[in-house]
Amino acid sequence: MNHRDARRRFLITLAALVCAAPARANDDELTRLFAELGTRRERHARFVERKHSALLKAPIESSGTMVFRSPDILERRTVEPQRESVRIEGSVVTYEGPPVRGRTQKQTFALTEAPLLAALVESLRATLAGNLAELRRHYDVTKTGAGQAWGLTLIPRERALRDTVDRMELRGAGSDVNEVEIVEASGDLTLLRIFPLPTPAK
Amino acid sequence: MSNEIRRRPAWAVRWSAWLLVTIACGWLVARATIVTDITAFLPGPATREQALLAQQLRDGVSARVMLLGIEAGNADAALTAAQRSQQLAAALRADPRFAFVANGDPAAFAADRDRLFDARYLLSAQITPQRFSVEGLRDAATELEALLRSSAAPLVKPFAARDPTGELLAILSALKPARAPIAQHGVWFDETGRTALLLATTKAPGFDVDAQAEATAAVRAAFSAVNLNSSEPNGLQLHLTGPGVFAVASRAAIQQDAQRLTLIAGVAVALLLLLVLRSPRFLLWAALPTATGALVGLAAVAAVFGSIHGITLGFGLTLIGEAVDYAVYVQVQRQSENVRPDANKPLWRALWLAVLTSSAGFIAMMVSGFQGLMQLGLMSIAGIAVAAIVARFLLPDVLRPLEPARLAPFAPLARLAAYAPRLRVPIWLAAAAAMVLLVARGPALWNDELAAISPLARGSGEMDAHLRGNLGLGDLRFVVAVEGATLDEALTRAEALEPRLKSLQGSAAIVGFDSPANLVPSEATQAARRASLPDEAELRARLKPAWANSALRPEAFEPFVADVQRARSQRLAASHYAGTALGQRLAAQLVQKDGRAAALITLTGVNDAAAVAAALRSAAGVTLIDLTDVQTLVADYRVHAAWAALGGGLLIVLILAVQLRDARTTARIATAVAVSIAITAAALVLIEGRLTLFHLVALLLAAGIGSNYALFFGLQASPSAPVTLSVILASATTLIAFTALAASSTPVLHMIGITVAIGASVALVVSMALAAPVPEPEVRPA
Repeated sequence: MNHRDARRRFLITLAALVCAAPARANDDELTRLFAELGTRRERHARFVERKHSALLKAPIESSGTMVFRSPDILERRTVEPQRESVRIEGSVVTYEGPPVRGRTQKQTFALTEAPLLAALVESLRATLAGNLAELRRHYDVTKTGAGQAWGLTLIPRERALRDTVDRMELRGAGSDVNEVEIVEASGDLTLLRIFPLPTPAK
Repeated sequence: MSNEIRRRPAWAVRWSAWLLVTIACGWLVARATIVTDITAFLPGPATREQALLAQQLRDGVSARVMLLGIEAGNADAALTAAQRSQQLAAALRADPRFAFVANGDPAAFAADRDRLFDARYLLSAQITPQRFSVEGLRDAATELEALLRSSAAPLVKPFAARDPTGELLAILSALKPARAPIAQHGVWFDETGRTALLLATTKAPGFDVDAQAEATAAVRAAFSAVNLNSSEPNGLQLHLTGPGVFAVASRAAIQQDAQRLTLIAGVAVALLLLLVLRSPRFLLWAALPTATGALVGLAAVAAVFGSIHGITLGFGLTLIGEAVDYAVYVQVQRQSENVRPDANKPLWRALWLAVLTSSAGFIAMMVSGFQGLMQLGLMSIAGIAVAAIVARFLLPDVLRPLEPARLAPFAPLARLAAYAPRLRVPIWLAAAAAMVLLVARGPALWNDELAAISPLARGSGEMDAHLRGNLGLGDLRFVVAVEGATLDEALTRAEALEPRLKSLQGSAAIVGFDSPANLVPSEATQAARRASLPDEAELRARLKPAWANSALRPEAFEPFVADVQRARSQRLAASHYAGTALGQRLAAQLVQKDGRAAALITLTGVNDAAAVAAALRSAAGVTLIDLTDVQTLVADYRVHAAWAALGGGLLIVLILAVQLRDARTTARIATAVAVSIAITAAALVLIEGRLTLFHLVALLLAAGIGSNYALFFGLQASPSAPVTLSVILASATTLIAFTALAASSTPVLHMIGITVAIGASVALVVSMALAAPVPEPEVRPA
């Protein structure tokens, strides 16, 4: 773990040294990309999430809808295989789970109480809001790809988070985010695919 | 002249002795520590409840808690407030004065969570044989699968391989406070979202005001340090409340008040003496017996008790009112010395008797058994005796007789003594009325709700209520003490109490409770939970059929099998939590003393104290403690003090009887003192409503001063002008000094002031009327 970590750091530093000039270009590109992402105040989408875990015999899938309202509201309603919803506003999470023993489960907690969830939320929310500065508070950000299609690699800056999340890969085109892949330190992997929907008329 | 030769060395010896004593005492006092722990003034525990209450007031968490708020000027600055909350919490956690600091940051909870996780199979109430049956494990698998599929997966996953049955979540939700503060930017905030909240517990008890002052200052300093580092001014404001903070503030107010009033009284007394005697020289020397007496008194306390209590210091200095009198007596008596060298003999005798009788009341205080009262008594006796010795043996060397003309204008005052006997009938009527009033009041005479004794009872203020409400603390007034012969018995009883507390919670009588048995279950409960855990082979054998149809991969759960196996031989004690916030909490909740043990359950948000008391009444070893209910403690203390006062009174009569060998004079003097005290007490009841402990102790002081007046009048064959004048002057200075104190807005100072001011005035009139020998009817009418 530490070894791998150190090696990765080393490679990143090396890459930064070798490509000092392109890094500036990367920075400009990032700024441009985030400016474009930030133009969307509200987003609606359908999602399919696939989880690979050592705990499970086979990957499991869930699907539903997502809503984002700039700058900090993210809501996710899962329909399959069980109904539940998570609404994150600021740093407060409201979770409404499937009924257990006939009782609906609703609880509110701080995002900081769940580092893994926070990682997902902060990365996605800052990206959707086009807030590069906020994203960089938590992650080292590098951009890949050129033209319309782009990719972002996020590596957690905080040690505590790095212990659980190895890296995140975001992929998109233009102002759309299409895929979020979370690679955990344990090797577990979550792939979230996002299919934009038109914003419903009010 | 041989007389001259003999006097010179005596003079030198006297002053050298004074110098040596002063230096020695000064050294003792300078080295002494001043303590402010008010429990020295609480009685020794008479009952179990009182012992528990006194212990809680001293060491309980409720008295050590400090509530902090960092208020942002507007909602935009809330993030800065959150950052300051983190920085302040970090600074205070590193400060050895604080036992525990919480600001809602979950990262700070990591160490505690690890300990809970480690002991989860002994802590979770879900652990039963059914839980680990094939059936139970199948249900657990279904639940875990659902959780892993859900959006809550990130919360569950890190622990799932070791804890597939979700015991950690069960433990955490059982421990979660009933009313948790709102979290924002990762820390606690109030409902306006503008004030970041923190909770700190000092290591020092709430009554240790010096330590609390240090802790309060440390918080303010830490906040300025973290907030000044910020680049721009941000308008953040620190609010600080809690019992210790109030204790510090109120002590500062008392000190300020006392200093100001002492200065006013000192100047007023000096002006009066200057006006009457017109001798600056006298004024300078008059301070000598007072200062020496105070110094020796304090040194005696320091030598005997090792330290001086703040209250002893403050109250002891009011003895000045009595000691200044001695200088006045000596000065006035110098006037008559030249006329008749032996004229003062009865006066010196009166002075010594005055010292003896004043001391009698304080001797009674010394045998009362209260450390606080013993200090007051010792300080007073040593102070009075030394003041009298200095006045008798040193002042005549330096005080010169004043020109008789100076006193002449006041001569008519002396005639008052001759008129006074005409007041006998009204005084007897007043005394009778006073007795009727005091007896009729009965127990209603006393007010034992002494807010000053309990820091929790002090006016808490709006900010305190706001912070407490938002932190979900309530007032933390009630503690349930569950006792047992052993810690395990106490914990067993605490567990047995849980259903009753839950039902109180259900009926909204209380909002929540916090029992140490949740962190350290009794031996029996631990054994039952261990017995529910199957061994390694058996668990694997059950997991196979249980998880056959689930999506879970059994091989991934080997850490679970290993942990269960380890838990089968695990034993949990309070030491498991050493070095964590939970450990601090337990240290305050589990008390072992004198072969007894107690588990303390804190109740939050008590809405219906009567229902709580009723529900707990029949439980074995259980006592509900109301931390603001210091009335029984104060009442006990007051009763002791009253017995001490009565004993002192009898001692005064005994001393007079032995010394005077004259039943009639003794009776006259004793009657004068008793009548003065009765009238003073009745006057106090009329003015103050009800009497408190401090009134009673001040009455002892008034009785001492009154006995002096009675002696000076009582030992005269006939009223003499210098004596009458000196006593009137002495009582005038006392009246001025204590009237200034009576004007104080600080209750303690006000009570002492008004009691002694009234007592001295009444004693002057009564002594002139009743103590003086009955004049023959045919004596000339002045």
